[in-house]
Amino acid sequence: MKKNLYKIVWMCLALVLAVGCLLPASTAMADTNEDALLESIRDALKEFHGESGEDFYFELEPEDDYDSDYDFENWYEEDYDFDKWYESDYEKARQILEENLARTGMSLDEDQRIYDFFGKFSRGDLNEIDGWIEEKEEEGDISIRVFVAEMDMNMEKYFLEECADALCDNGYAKEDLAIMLLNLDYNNRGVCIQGYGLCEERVNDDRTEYILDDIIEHFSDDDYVYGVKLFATEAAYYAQSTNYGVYFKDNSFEGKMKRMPWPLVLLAPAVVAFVGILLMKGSKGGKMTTNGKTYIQNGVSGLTANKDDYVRTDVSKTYSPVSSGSSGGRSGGGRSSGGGGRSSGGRSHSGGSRRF
Amino acid sequence: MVIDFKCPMCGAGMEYDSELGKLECDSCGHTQDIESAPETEQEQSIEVTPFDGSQIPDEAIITEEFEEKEPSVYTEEQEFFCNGCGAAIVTEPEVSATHCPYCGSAVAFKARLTGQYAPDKVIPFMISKKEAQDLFRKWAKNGILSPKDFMTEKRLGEITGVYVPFWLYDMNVSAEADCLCGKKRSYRKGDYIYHETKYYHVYRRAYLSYHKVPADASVKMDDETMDCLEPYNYTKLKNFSPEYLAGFQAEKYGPDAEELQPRAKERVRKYAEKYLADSIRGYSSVTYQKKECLINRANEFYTLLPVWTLHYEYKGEKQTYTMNGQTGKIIGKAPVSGGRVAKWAGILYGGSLAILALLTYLVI
Repeated sequence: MKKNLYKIVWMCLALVLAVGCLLPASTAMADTNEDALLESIRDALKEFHGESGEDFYFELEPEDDYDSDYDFENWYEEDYDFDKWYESDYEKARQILEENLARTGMSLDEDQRIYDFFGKFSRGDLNEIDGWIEEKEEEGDISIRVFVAEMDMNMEKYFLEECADALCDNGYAKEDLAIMLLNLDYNNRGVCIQGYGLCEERVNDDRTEYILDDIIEHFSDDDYVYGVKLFATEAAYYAQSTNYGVYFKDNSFEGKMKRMPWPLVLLAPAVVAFVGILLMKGSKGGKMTTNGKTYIQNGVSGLTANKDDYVRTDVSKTYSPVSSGSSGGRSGGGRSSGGGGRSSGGRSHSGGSRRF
Repeated sequence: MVIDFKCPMCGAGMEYDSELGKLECDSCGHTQDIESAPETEQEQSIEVTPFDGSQIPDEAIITEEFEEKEPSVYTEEQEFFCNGCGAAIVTEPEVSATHCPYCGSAVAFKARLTGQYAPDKVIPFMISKKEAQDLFRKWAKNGILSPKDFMTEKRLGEITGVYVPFWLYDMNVSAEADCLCGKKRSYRKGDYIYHETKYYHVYRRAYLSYHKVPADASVKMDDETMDCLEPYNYTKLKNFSPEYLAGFQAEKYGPDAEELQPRAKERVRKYAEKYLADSIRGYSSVTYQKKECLINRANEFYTLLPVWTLHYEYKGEKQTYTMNGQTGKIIGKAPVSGGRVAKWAGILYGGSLAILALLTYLVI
């Protein structure tokens, strides 16, 4: 047993010695081979170009040309650095934000709740919206920010994430943040909403879809002020609500007026008035109220023959399989599949977006 | 010749009072009963024994019977002289009673009430002029779209009581229907729905007797309007006497009984067909293979029926409103004022808009 142990130890030592001697030798050989290769190339160039070949001499340094340790088996991991890609989108988004801020002379600020880079709203509208959002922020104890800009729709998510990071990192907004981008690019008109902190849970993907359901029609109808105000209202409402089965209903006067089915409300009374006038007018000046019974002499009138004889029966059948029942439920048409994610600053968020 | 209705006490003109059912003198208040002729044998035979099918008369009995009436020699006379003032009364040829336009006396023209124009029956006015005015006024109140001056007191003063000539026909009908009727039902067996129709051969035969079916014989009155004024209560039928016409206008018939017969027969045919159709019950489909009505005219009565009329012209359009002088039933289409239509349309629209908007606001 002891003898075998000694054998194994000696074999390991021998192996280490062998590797220690062979490795430098192989490196020296490689260097020699490379030098020889370079020399042969230089000679070939000189031969081809004569003495002027010196003009075309260029230094070929092995370490600059290629890496002898290149891992060809895992090449894709090195060449395609996905983190770098993401970084470039975030950089691009950050660039869009900075460009917009620079162009409009704005800066991110604690007291500014709507950033209209597009110039969609008038000063009066902005003040109205800002005031409204401030009120809703207090109600929901969250921060609400709205950005109005134009960009490619693929950038919306990154843009909002960069905005959220910039706002929260600098203390311009609470970590519990509901943020909306109104993208007014001609070919990419849409809305993107994200919820951070508490809002990630309260203004979750599902509720975001309900918010989008409510506000999108107002943006489609060019009623941007109401659409933005409704977003702020609903975000604040959901931020306070943990009853996830109950969805927001705008019971304000303005909300009801907006939901009012005006064509029906205006048309139905016209029908009522028309029918009313017809009834008042009366179609006839009187009607005939007599019939055969008025003049018949019952005592001497009646049936004198009366028979009902069965003739035949006709039967036809139609194929009508018994229905196995139909499934019901609410359609999810037009809904996005959730726009949550994580910002470059490491903030996870909920979200959703829709075109209009 | 003119028949006048002088008061035997004071000599003033008397008029028929619908409440008293007598002639009354406005000057001295004297009233006078109207002597009607006794009921004819034909009239008394209306009461019949219950029907058991055996009473069906044979062809000999139900053949049409016509009584040729003595032709009048005064028919075309259009100028009469008032017995009271001697003035010439020129009337339209169909007028048989009216007022003297000079002295206001009630007059009747004998030539147009005797001979072939002698009415068999009359239903006297049961509704007085004052009652008729009240009824018209009440009716006009329902027409909220009518112009303001519709049915004013002045206009209501122009209502006229007219005895309109009618032919009342007694007709017997032998009707039969032969048809194929179906009873349908559907039921399910497995994956199939079965539609079953049982067919029956259905036969009905009826003997029907219609009593005093009216057809208006006036040349002035609209037939449809007169049909709508029905029914009249025939228990109040009286044998004709010219005194019933005192104070009213009256017309003699235009088309005679023979000419009007098709209209009455068509009406009776519809009644008989309806009777047969109503007797075929319990079937979901009826296909007639044979439907036949043999109609025989048994009797006809030239009768004067009471009608109150009021003429009204609105925006160049003449309207006539009529009232059954016995029952008070009014026929006529009230004129419509554009201004009132606009006003009421606005009220209705505004009212319903407010209600609907409120309801919608509360619900949504």
